[in-house]
Amino acid sequence: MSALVPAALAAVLLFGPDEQAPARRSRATNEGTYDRLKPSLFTIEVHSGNVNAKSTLGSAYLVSSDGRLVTNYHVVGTYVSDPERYQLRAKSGGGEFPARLLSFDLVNDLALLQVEGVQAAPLRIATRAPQPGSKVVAFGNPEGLGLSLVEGIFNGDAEKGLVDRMLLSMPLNSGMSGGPILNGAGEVIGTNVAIERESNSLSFGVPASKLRALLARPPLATDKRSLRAETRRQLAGLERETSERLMREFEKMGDATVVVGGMHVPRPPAVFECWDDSELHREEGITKSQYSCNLQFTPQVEELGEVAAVSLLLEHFGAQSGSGFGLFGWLPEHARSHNQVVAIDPKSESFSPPRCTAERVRVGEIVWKITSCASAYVEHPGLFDFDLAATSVSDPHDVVFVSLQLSGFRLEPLLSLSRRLLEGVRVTGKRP
Amino acid sequence: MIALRLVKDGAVVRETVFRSLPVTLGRGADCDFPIFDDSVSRRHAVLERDPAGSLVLRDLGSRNGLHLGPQRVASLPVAALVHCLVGTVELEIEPLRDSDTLEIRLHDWRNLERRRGARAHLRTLALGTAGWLAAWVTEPSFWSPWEKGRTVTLLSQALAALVGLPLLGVLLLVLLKAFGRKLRLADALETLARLVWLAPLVNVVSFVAYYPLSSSAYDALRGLVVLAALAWGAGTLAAIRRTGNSRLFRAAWAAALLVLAAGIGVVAGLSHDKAGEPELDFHVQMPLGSFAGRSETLDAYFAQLSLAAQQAAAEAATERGKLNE
Repeated sequence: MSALVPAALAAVLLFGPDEQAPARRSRATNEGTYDRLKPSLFTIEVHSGNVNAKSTLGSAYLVSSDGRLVTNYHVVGTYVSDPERYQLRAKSGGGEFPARLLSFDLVNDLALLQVEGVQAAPLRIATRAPQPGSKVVAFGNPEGLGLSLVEGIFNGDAEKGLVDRMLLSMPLNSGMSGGPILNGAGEVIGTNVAIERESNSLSFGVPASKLRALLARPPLATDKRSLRAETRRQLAGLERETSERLMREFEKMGDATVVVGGMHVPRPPAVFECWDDSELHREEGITKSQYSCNLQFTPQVEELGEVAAVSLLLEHFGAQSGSGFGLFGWLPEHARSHNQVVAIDPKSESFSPPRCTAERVRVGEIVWKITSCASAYVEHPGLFDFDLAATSVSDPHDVVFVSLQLSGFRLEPLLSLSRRLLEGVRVTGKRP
Repeated sequence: MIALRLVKDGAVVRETVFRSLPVTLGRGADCDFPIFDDSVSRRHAVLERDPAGSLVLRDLGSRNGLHLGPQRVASLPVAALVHCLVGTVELEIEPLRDSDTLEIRLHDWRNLERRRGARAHLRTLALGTAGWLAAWVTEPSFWSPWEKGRTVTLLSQALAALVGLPLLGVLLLVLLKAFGRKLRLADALETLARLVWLAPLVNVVSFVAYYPLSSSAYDALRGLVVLAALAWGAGTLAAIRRTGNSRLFRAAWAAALLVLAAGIGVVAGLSHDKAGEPELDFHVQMPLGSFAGRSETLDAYFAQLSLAAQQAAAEAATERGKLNE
């Protein structure tokens, strides 16, 4: 860390005085901000050698006078996964520069690139967190159509989620990933990263505080083997941290339970985003209650999809007498529809074919039919995608369904999590 | 003993059985087997044993001779059933053995030619349709609380059975006729209508067997029951109106089909493995009372799951090795 922090600080100090006047001006007009920052903003393309074509497109911004650019990991993800096939290039104001990857952080979705021969002023990184409610602007190159400025409001950090995300009310678009988010003083407070697709102008950023660690990392060798080893290292770290955190938080919940229909289940910790619902199907004679939770803002990794992702579903079906036979006729289809692992392309080069096992299992008072599958990560030994579905079969009128899906985990977290859930289910027989 | 039969327009019009040789044939009144036809000579041919002791029909220098197919022959051997022309008259000669008589067993009675009325046809069709519907009704998923319009499903299935069974019957008829079996559509339909009942039977057997067995034993049993039902069904279909040792015949059929099914199973399993599609078992069933059958402990199941994960990891390692080459 010590090696690079002075450089970063130097950048802030060195260019500080020059920036004072334009920064004040920018508060008055967006035109000023646009003109002033344009030379420091870049479009990043990952390409496989063709001049006019690219395989991914994103934005980036200059953070040091020696030509270091910040963008998102997901912008350069294809390059990280296969540096022999892909190359990076950075474009700015008509000029084109070959770019080199310095480091990446797949957990926070950031990457640092190096370009040579850039003669622009680097953006200053804000030293203080912005006030929620403050006006911000974001830059980027939506769909590669041209540098665009978007105004919005910073609303603080999202309250839930595995990683920290800034909550922004602004219409970001694809292609703007990796662009800077600036406060009124023209300082970087974050990096554009994602939008909520089915929302109205809900966008997310990576807080600037995450940049420091990235800037402090020693530059990586960019051969395939080294990048793969780095990805593996970060994934393993993420998995360890996440599983320890989950265990710790579940432990903290103690014997706390939530009521789902006619059952008590262990209460998932606050890190989960949970939804519940209960409906009476009068005609069918079934009361269906469900409680579903997942981790928000889990990292997306090239070729692997979401990692450190956990989703759990707890359902209770209370059946009036007589409807049991039919309910059990439908349950296999229900369990199958919740299986994600089978949806993995069996020909995928990133995952092993899933291996599954099914058995009737007694846990305390309840007998379950448990069907679970494991698909191993080809490039990251020890990590798996898991899918576990358990249907209680000991009572025709109180049926419990538990589904647990984990991506990018070792086996142990799955076992302890499912043990905790299955051992914690208590059927009360009381219907809502 | 030898049977001589005069055939006209494909039908036997006269049959005489002779105990001793020679037998003379001709228009003459003194012939043993007279044939009154202008194309036949007075002493036309004789059926006798040649010096080697085999049965032959020999031309006695007739005007129009003996024909075997289009070929005029001076004599023709009669080892088994033979059709020939004496002049222009069609003659069938069959050496008979008294040991050839077949016993009609009780189960052969239904194979005998018999005429059925419209009522019998309707009864057969109703039996088949009922079996078809029983197969649906004994399927637990049919009773799913979210399954709407069960009546409509049943009605459409009844319609499918009423159309499908006769159609299948016709197919079967054509197939068996191609192999020279003499049967009527009613025979095929009757057998089909009875066989349809195998499906609900398999369902009921599976339902009863689920809880007393472990999951893997149940899977194996169900596979076997389905296979046996298929083999037995196919054997029965192939044996429609086949008199004789049909039990042995059916056993041979069943064995052949089992071998075929095992082969298909192995090939399917291999291609399944190759495609990497997981074997997924989500089968659950309503507990019979509070009896939920045999079950494992959670630790035992986790050990099983670890094994599956290890297997997946080993496959990933192989894949990784291949990619790094």
